[in-house]
Amino acid sequence: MSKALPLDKMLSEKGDEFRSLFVKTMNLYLGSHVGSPVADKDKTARVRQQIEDIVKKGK
Amino acid sequence: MLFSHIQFHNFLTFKGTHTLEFPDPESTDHALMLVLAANTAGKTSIIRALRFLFCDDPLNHPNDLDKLINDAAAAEASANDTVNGWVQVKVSSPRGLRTIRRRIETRCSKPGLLKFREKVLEEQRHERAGDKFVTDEGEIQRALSLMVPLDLFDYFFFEGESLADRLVGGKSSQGIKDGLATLIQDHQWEEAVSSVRDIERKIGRDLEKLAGQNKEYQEMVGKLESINIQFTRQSEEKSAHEIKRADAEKVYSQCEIDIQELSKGKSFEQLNRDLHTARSKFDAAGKQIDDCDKEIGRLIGVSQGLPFYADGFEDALLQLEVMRSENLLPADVSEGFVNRILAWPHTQACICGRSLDPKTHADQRKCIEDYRERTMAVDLNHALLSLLNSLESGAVRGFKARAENSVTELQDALSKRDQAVLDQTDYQDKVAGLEQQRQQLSVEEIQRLQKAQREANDTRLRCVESLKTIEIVVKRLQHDRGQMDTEIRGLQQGGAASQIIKLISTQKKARELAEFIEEARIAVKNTFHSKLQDLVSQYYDPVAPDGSKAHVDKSSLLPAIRVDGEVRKNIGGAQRQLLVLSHIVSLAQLRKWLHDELSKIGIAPGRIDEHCFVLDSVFGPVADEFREKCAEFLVGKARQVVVLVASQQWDETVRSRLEKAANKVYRLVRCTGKEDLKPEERTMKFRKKEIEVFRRINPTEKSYTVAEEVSL
Repeated sequence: MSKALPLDKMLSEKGDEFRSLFVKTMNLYLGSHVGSPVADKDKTARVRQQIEDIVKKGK
Repeated sequence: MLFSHIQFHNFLTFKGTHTLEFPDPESTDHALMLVLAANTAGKTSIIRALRFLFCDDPLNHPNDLDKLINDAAAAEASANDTVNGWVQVKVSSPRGLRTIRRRIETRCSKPGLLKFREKVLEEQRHERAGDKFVTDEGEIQRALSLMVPLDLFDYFFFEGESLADRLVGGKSSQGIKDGLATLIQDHQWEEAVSSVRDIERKIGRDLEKLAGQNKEYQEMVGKLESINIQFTRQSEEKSAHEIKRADAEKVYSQCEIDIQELSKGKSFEQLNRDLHTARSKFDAAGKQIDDCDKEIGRLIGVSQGLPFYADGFEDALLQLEVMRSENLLPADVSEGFVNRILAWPHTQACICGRSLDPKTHADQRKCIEDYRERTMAVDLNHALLSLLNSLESGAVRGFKARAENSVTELQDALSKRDQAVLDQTDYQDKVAGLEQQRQQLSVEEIQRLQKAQREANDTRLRCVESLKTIEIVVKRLQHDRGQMDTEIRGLQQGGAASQIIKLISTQKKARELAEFIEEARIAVKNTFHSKLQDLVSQYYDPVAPDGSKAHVDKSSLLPAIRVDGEVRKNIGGAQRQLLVLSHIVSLAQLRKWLHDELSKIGIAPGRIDEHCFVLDSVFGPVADEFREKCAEFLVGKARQVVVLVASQQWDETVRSRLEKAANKVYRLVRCTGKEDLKPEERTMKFRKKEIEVFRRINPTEKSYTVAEEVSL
């Protein structure tokens, strides 16, 4: 089990801010898969808005 | 995903409610549940029921789901009774333990005849009023799909032959890849890329709007751009002039060196020095002549013209001596004597000082008075006496001596002048000679070099002038640029410009993020093959009965074996079963590895950890001698393994390996009124006990199965 995903290395070349942006984005998307039981359409729009906020404000 | 329990209620062969309780996963590293079943008892029903739950598979009854309700339960129902059948699991999930079931509700028309009413996926919720089941609105099904991806169902819930055929026979080329894609929620990554691209496009549209609104800023930016272009041009021009100036200086220096070089060996420098000396001496001779002329003039002036009068000295001397002999020039005339004469008659005294009474000394007085009348004025007397003295030949400062001295000095001066004139002539000749000599050297080349040197110097001077001008322009541009920057900053801080800048930055960030997610998705998926190969080799190679090595196809990710370097897909027996088992266990390990690796980065793709395997017909196609290896393989490879074993496979070899490791045992008892089981199939041995898997019921009753725990 010595192999590692190349993601960490790829992210290390991007800097902390980008890493945070990527991780937040992916968590929102991957988390949305098993998130609260709201309708898909609303969920997608809400997640998209959250991503937009993260990209714009870094929050 | 680990089970806490699996429950069946009036579903397929199960009549009533039957629960397979798993050992607490927290207290058991490797749970091995044995389900001992009589033939036709319905062990396959367990996997089919799980497929119905997780995959919403109608199990070949899409239009008559009521057929999934247990026949015996249906037969016992009365008209208008509601008859439910369900499959329920209690599983670990990111939200903790969840109890989920898929239920079929039917209404009994008459005993044995059910009418389908609805199929419901629901989850148990704990509420103050008591637990109740809440119907799914989409999330429960998504959670189930994440726990058991449709494409990987067969790997987690292994039905023996069919899966082995598909894996080794290569009939599921895309299935594994699709299944693995679900491990990382591939579609969510795609959705993330799509969303971020949408955000990027939206920002682009916002930018266009803002750009239009911000004309002033754009103009200012345009001006700044223009200044920057001018500045660049001036800088380039400055550099060009500096290079030109440096070149000119280089040419100048080189000419200097060349001229010196040309002069070497021909005493050019010495010649120049000699010429310089000759010219200096020529000039010095001229100066000497001038000095002599001045000296002669001075001497003439100082001589007071005495040499010109020298011939008259004798006559003047004779005349003056006559005057002196006649006492016209009294040698002893003193100041007091003359004053006394001049004071007469007031003094009433003799010129010798005695008192002369006018009565007694009348004659004397008359004599004195006469003398006074004849005598000359004192100044004239003095002058003439002085002249007399000067004319006397013995006088050192006499006219004669002085005249002679003047003549001598003048002659000296004239002599010096003559010499200087001669010198000047000589040096004039010498200069002429040296100049002629110098002209005979490499005059033309030197002149050319001197011309080049002059031109280089001119160029240098022109460059210096140009550079001064450029410097002024550059300073002005710098000033303008600074001013423009300040104004732009002002606009940036206050207006749409700042938003534009932010939006450009955000757009860039979004673009970079979308590209990265796409790259990352591909990079993660590209790790599947190498990781899977490692894992399958790790499990298969040490137990392979023939020394073959596991091989995972790079494109399909399907398993095969490698013998003597050659890949073989057409394999059977123990190799095939071990390979398939290795492959499915590896897939689960890969799933967990992915989860762990993503978690390390901070991504939580749901709870994808250990998985429960339910394995049916593991030993069926395996030759007797390899059953032991398969049995060994099942122990300790996963956190939860459920092995469904039919009585005919439960031989001594299998039993000896599994019964020791089992920590939970159930039996599926075939309850039937038929005589469809041989006596030896009606019991199964477990730890030296005979376990009944057959129960006789009234022949008029429908057959069914019950699950009962076997105490250990």
